[in-house]
Amino acid sequence: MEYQTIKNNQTTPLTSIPVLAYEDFLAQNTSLLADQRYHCVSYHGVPQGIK
Amino acid sequence: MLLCCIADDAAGNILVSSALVNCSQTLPSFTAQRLAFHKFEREINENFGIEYIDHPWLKPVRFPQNRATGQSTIANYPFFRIESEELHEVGVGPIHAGVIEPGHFRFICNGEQILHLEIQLGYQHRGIESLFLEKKKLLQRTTLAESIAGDTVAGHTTAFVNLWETLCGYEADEDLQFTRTLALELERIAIHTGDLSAICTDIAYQLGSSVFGRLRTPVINYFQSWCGNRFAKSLIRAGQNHFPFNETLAEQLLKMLDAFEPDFDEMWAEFHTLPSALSRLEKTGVVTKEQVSNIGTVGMAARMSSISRDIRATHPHDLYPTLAHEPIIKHHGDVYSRTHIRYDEIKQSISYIRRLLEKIPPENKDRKALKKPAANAFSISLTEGWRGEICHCAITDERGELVHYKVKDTSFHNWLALALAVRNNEISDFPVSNKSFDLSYCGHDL
Repeated sequence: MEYQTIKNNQTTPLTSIPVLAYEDFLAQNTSLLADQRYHCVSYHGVPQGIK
Repeated sequence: MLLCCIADDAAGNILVSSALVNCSQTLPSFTAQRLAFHKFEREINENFGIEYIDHPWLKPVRFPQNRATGQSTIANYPFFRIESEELHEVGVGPIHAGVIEPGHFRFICNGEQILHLEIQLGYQHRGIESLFLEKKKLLQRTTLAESIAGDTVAGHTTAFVNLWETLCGYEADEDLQFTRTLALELERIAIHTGDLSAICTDIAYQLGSSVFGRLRTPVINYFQSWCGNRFAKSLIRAGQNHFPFNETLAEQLLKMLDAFEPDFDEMWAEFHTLPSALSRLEKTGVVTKEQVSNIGTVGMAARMSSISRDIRATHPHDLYPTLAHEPIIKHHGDVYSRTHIRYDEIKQSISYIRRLLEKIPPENKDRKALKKPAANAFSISLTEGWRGEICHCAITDERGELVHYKVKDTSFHNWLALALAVRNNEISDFPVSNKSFDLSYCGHDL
């Protein structure tokens, strides 16, 4: 598992957020939701040029 | 870049990861494995043109703007069809009787029974997220947050100011947190009470409609006497408090609640034991725990079906840690569960407010000024509005300017639950099912 762990109302440097290969990104986030303790609060696209 | 934020509700953490993709790529979808991602990927497809090889329902989310292709229009929405001489379709909206917002509901019915409902939204799209970037002044952005959904001013504005303060490295004083917590709970009482009135209206129970409707008024009027606006506009500001709470306001609030509670309890006692009312609410519009879990609903639309999902408990902010919130959980997933949650949550909110009023923090008259937002940063803010979870995310550039702003209203998760709730119900029960969710069109459409 590769992710940046933050709390509600926390700011983190953009560079702290891991960038995964899409296949790994998909596998990680879909497998997390197998456990009901996890739920998706936001999943969205960010336009090119940001990062 | 795709950015995914998963809440760990047991540990109170948020797990953030990303992937770089090309918009011309065709990708395997998250949705094929977890339905809870379906709306997020529909939005990504609409905004960026990314195609998915195995998304089962890749339909538009909002039509008017911010879409990668101009080919699809609101007039050629790809509705699900069933060819049969025995079935008929019923179209409702986007213009509705009464004063609700625009949205189109396409029913496929067998006689009076609903087989399928497809909900087409997007008519309220205003480009809110783009406006957050275009408007550079904090007051303009705060006003935008207040306008995301007119019934959730405290919910969305609290999410925005908390996000902005963390971006600026600002720790809110206790009086600011007090204002936000109190406003959120008052908003919950006001809207839930109005919803109880509307549910009574939809089952033609005139007494409940009138009394609950009348009881909502003193709550929103209290906001008026506090900040000059019945929907709490102008009350919540990042790093500022233009309407400091004081003992006089506390006395007024206690007086209002003391008058509200006995009438509210008396009306509830009548309503929830009335056989003719219960026959319309019980086992109507059922969404099972399994469905709710698969859809990934939040707020009341999760708690109605045994899922304890409440930001106040799992990711508490402002003064919620001091309240040690216990979510109200129901188990039948029907209109009655969604109605009963409202009663219980109103009572709980009143008890929280009484506790908050026991210790009113003094106004900080020597408040620090907000600094500039951090550069090259990502922030996230979650609040539990009356409807449920609200999420705001922001990204800044190397100068600390906002370059990305993302809003997710509760309704984004929950509209599908309504569509499933009405299956196999009589179409005449649709209005009360719809009202029992009371989802936001503008909050969804942004």
